[in-house]
Amino acid sequence: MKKDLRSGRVAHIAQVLAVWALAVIFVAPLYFVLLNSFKDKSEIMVSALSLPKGFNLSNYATVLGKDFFTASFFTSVGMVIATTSLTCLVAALAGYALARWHSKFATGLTLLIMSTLFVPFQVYMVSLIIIVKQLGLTGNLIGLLLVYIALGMPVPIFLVRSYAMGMSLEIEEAATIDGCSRMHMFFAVVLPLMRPVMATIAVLNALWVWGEFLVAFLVYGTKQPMTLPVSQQYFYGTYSNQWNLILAGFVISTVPIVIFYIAMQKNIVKGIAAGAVKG
Amino acid sequence: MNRKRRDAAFYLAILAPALILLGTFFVVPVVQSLLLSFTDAYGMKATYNWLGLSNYVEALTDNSFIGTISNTFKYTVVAVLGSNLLALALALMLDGPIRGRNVLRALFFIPNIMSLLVVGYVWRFVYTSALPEMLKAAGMQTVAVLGRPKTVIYYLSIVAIWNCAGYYMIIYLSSLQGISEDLLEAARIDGANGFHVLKDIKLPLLAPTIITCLILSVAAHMKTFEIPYTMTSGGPAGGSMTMVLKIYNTAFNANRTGYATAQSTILFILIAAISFLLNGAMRRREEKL
Repeated sequence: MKKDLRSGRVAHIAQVLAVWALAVIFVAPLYFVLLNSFKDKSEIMVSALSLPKGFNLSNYATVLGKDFFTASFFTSVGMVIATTSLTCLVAALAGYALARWHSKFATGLTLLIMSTLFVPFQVYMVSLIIIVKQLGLTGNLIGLLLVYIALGMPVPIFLVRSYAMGMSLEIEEAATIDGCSRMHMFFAVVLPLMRPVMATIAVLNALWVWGEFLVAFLVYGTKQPMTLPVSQQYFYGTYSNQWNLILAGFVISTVPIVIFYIAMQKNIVKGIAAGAVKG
Repeated sequence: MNRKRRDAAFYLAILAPALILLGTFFVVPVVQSLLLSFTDAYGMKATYNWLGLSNYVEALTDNSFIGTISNTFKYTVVAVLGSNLLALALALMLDGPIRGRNVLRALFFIPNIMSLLVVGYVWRFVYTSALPEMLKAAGMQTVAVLGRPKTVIYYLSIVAIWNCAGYYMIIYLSSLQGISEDLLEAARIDGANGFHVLKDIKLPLLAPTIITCLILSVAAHMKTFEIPYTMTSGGPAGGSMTMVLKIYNTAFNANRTGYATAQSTILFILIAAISFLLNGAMRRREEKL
């Protein structure tokens, strides 16, 4: 028994060491980014591992002084707010309908939306761009917004659908008897009840939109003001040997999302787990 | 009857936004992509000719395209196995009582919330600046890991593992938390040691989650674009050219829309086939139980 305990303790210590070693490896790239964002160009050339000479914020000042960078930062903030709120609305309406409407049409539509989960955007991106161009929506933030909602809504629709299936019908029936119109009842009664699932959807959607590159690059392109990831690609192309500025730009664009993640951790974890079950 | 019709009208009305978006940005492009793959569509030119299967024949006899399939497979196999093994190990270790586990969970997840574009550039910096210097400091020979056509793709897989292991870790963790404490306690009382609990209880109960994660990660890595795009542009000598990067180049640099859509269809068939096989494996397992 004693021997068992001791071997259990050794195993535990080995686990702790392994986890922390992995954590160090995982954090190392981020540490290099942060470290070198405080150096000037020549310091990085000499050594990428040395500590910076001082806590030099001039790279940050330079990046924040570029109009296109700050403009793209706020463009991305706007895109996140617009996409997330509209995705929530569209998914709430559609998911609720699919949960309550017992008809062949609703079943077929559920299957169709489910099939989108198995067809990645990359598979039809070429013809999607042709259609976006034909609709005159390229280089247009509204166009990007519509494509983002379309691509981002399937999982939210399923999350709402299964949430709504678990909601009791009694409240809705009572509201109908009180003479509430169904549309009014949806916004006054149903939508407030769906707040938890809305929060999950909003948080996951916001994370995705903030970092999304390929769709923004293809649909919207490099017209000013671009979204943040696209502007970083542009930035990299323009200042390709100035890692000091590029890395400072990465820090500025990543810090808000890390703070957001820490604040919303519970919702994110819940959403990922639920999304995996649905997917 | 009247009530039923009123209900249908209401549901259709609230489904309308999703229906319009789904039609415009999914159904129409998917169908059009399939149709264009049999034509010689070029750029935005409105006219094109029916070619039959010749785009597909060209793709499957074009060594540079076959090379991208092989690169994508190598990348996917390493990334899928690496990220899932690592995620599973992390989940098992961080499920137990370990000091600072919430901080650790957050640390492993942070690479996943970063933009894939940023991830690619950050690792380009690591591979070209930090890593050679570390090797030199350790007295080892420095290697330009992004400069070797035969192995470059595996170094990109490492980036993918770094990016997504934390994501699968969260899925595994939530599944582990669903295992009843009583069951584990009973096994321990019966004298099962840690290894047996893992092999005979935890892993079998995790099996459906493992399959789900494998399916999710195969699709996620087969469609990789940002990592090779930012780190190597598919080079050197096409050594890290993945299928989606190739499709992108065919469609938007060479303007060969028809050919690019045929390549896309092949990509879809590959993803669907692998997912189907994995799904089949899960079904067979469930029948056995």
